[in-house]
Amino acid sequence: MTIEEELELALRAEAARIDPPVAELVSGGVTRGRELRRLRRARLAVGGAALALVAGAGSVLAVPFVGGDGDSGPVADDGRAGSETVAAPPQADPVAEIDPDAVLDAVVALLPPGEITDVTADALDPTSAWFDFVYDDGDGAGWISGSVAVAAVAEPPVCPVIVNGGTCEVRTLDDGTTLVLEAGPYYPQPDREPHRLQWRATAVAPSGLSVHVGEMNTPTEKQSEPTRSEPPFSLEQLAAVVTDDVWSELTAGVSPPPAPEDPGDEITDEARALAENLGPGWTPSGMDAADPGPDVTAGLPDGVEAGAAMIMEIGAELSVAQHCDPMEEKGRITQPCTTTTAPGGETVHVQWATTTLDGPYARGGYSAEVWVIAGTDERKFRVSLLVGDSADATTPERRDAMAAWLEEQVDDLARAATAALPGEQG
Amino acid sequence: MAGDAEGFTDFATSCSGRLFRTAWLLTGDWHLAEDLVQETLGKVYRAWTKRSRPDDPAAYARTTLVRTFVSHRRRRGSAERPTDSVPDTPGGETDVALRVTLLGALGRLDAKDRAVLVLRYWEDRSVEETAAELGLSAGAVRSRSFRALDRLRAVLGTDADDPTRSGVAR
Repeated sequence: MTIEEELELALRAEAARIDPPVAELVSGGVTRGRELRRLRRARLAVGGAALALVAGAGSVLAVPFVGGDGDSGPVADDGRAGSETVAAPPQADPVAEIDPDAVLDAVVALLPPGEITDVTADALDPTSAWFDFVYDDGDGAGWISGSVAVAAVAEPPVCPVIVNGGTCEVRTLDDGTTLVLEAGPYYPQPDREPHRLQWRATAVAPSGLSVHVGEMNTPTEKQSEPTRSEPPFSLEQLAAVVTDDVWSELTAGVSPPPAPEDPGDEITDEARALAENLGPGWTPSGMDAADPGPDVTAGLPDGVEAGAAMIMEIGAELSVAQHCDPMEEKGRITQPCTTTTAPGGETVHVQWATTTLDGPYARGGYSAEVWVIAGTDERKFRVSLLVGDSADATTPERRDAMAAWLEEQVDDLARAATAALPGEQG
Repeated sequence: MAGDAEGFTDFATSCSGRLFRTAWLLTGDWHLAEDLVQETLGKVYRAWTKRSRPDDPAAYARTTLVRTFVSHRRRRGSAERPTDSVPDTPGGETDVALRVTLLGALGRLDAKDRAVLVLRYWEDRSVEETAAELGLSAGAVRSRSFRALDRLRAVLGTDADDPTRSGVAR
C-alpha cells in the first residue's frame, strides 16, 4: 500500500470516528455571522470603507483571503479578490478623510493570498494615506508600499529617464486615467544593486485621485538581500490593483486640498533682497529668486541660458563640511568646496557642479552650477546659479566661457548669501 | 433577513458535519475544530444575503475553512505546532497504531502542507483544485505534497514506497 493510500484510509477512518456537534456549530456560526455583519455595518458607518482590518505598526495581519473584514475567504480564479472583497459600496455618508486602515485593507484584499507582516498605514493629511508591509506568498518576502491621494488637479505621471535597464510604459485608459507601469532595478544607477528590483504601478484619474503601489523582491526597501528573483506580483496584477473601483469608493466625499495658488507675479521681500544684494542687472523673481538681465549675461556665449539665482536656507541636519563633500551621482559631478572671502570679509564656501557629457546619465546637454554657502553649521544660506548649453552647441571653449562667467558672479552670490544671515539683513 | 437566516441554517446544518471533520483532521483538536467551523460558518453567513450568496456555498465554505485555518496558524506563529495527540480509539479498517502514527505525523507538518494533504486525500481534491483553494500554484501544491508525503513516509519507515509516485496529480 502506498503512503497516499495509507493516508487516505487513515483520514477517512479518523473522520468517521467522530460525531460532529452540528447544532452547536450552526448556532455558533449564525451568531458569529451576525456579529460580523454588525461589525461591517459599524465600520462602513465610521470609515466609509467596505473593508476594515485594523493594523498597527509591526503587527501581523490576517492573510488577505478577502472577505469583508480582511479575513480568509475564496478569491477569484485570476488570483485577485473576488466579489466578496468589496461586498457592497459604502452606504454611509461621504467621509471627509481617507482612512489609512481602509486603504490598507483594500490593497491587501486585492492581492493574492500571502502572509502579511510588518504593517504600517498612516495618513499624511486628510486627503492622502500611505502604507507598507512585507508580503510573502511562500516564495520569498517582498516589500510592498503604496499610497492613495486626492488632489485638486490631476497631474498625470510620466516615465522618468531610465538608465538602469528598467522599463516604463504609459497607458491611457478609457476613463482618462493615466496608468504608468515601471519595472527594473530599485536604484536608478545601472551599477548599484542591479538585483534589487522594484516594480511599480501608478494610476492618476482625471478626478485627481492617484493610487500608487510598488513591490520589491526584497523584504525591506534597502539593506537587505533579494529573497526571490522578481517581486511577487506581475505588472498586470499591480495595474489591476491601482485601477480598481474600490479606490474611488474609499475616497468618495474626500475634498481635495485647494490647488496651490499660482504665485503669479508676486514678489517676496526675500527675492527683492536677493536681487538687490546681487547688484545691478538682477530682477527679483517669485519667492526666492532673481533673474539676470542682459547686462549680466552679456559675457555668456550665444545660446547659453542662465537660470535664476536662487537663495535658500539649508537645514542644520548636515554641516557645512558635509554639504561640501564631493560626489558623483546620476551624471552630476560635484566638486569639493573651496573656502574664500566674500566682499564683506565673511568666509564663504564655493562649490561647483557640472553634468557629464558621456555615459548613461548624459542628458543631451551640459550644465554648470555654482553654489555659495555662507553661515555656520547651525544656520547657513546658499545662493545658487546655473547655466546650460545644448549638446549640439557645447564645446570645450564654450564650457570654459560658462565657467568663467559663473566665476565672475561668485562675489555677487557671496554678497547675497552673507546678507541673508541673521544680523546682516536690514 | 429571516428568509436569509433560514436558508443559511439549512445549508449550515447540511454541511457542518463535513466541515467539522475536515477541521478536525486539520487541527487535531476538538475545540479548535469547533471554533474553526463556527468562524467559517460566520463568514459564509455574512456573505449570505438576499442580494447575493456564494454560487457554490459548500465549496465556498470549504475554501474559507482551510484558508482560515492556514491564516490562524500563521498568526499564532510558526513555532507553534498543533497537537499530535490523536485519540487512540478503535475505528475504521485501518490499523489503529498506524493511523495514530500517521495522523500524529500529519499534525506536525506545516499548516499549509497539512491543508494540502487533507484537501487531496480527505476532500479528494485534485492538485489544481487544491491549488485554487489554497491560493497556491499547482507546482507549489505538488512540491508541498511531495515533501509532506515524504515526511510521513519517513515516519512510517516505508522506504520501499516509491517517492516519485507521491505528490503527482491523481
